[in-house]
Amino acid sequence: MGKKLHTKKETEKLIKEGKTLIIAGSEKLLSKLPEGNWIGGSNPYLQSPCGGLHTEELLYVKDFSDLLIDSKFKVYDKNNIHQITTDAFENGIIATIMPANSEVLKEFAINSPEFENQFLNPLLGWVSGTDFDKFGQVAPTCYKSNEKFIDKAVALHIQLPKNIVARLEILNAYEASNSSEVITFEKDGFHNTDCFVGGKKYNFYKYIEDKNIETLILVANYSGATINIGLIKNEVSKNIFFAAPVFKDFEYKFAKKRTKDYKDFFNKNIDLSNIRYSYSCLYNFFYFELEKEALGIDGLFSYGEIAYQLLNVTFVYLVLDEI
Amino acid sequence: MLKIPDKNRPEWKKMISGEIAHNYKNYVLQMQTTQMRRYIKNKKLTYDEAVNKLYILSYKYSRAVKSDLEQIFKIW
Repeated sequence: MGKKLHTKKETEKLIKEGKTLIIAGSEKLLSKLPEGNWIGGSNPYLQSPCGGLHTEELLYVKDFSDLLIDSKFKVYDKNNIHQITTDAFENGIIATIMPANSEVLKEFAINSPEFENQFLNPLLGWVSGTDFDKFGQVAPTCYKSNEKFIDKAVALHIQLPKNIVARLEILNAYEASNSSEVITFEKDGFHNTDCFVGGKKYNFYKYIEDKNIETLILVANYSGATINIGLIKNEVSKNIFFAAPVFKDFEYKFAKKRTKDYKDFFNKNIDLSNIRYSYSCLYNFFYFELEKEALGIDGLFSYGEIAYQLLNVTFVYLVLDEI
Repeated sequence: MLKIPDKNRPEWKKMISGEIAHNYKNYVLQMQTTQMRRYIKNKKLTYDEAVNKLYILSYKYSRAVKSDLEQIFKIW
């Protein structure tokens, strides 16, 4: 697959060679990169084959140059993000990066399932962030070449040769708990004060407290795909916020508590030789202590994963099939 | 692309209606089937339109969904 973690100097060389790149790394490094054919997002949590890294010295650089026959770069805000799927090439890949907590991300997260042409081409990407202890204080950034944005999504549209088809797959370590009741919500979005269980309304924060819910992840079944919603408990305001939106059409259950044996689980379910690009959730980095685990892959740990829509606590990867 | 079952086969509609409750192994088809069901429920698409979308995507990913289609359609 080739090395993907690079120093700033190595990355500058790739940019100056005219390579078409997607770059993740600290804002300190990204802000010094030259103009070129690249998009990037601030994120200091990277993955090397030997383990996870919190680094200000390296960048995760994916080079798509040898794969594509054409490409174009776009910037979107909350008013035109819906065009991301119709701007795609006929047989292509859409790669995007969006800043955490931005209006464009929220618009995307709620409406992307219904974007025109959604699912025709793989729509991959991730949410840019900051050092975890600075989250909420420092603005995450995205870059289209060396132009910086804190409130826009950046995208690289790639056209593939006719004999190559790209697809996205996910790996979710979590499954629904058998003891969880079925939870529904009355509105789509990142926040619902109340939930419904068996037709009865409960205050969601109080429900979680009363049930002693430990694993703050909701799980929904999407025709066999297990989709997570990470929950953030605010003990001051006694509210629950969602790291991805819930939708009123779906039934959710709380996730089963997970042991920390992520490496065995990963190795059983993933064929590394197939993976062309991948990213995982920062929650996985912390909970499964992935700084200590050699998963044999380069990548990054993000504040949200994009695989057609916004996902949480998920490993996403791109596969290419020859037809 | 591999050959896939004819679009007129009734199984396609049953996959969307849930009458055949198949869970694809392939992520994009898991997501698209789910979205088609939402569209039908919310009357944003007809069954014919939803089947058409599912068929187009299944054709594109015919290699990845081959085992899924074999389980559902048996022969074609």
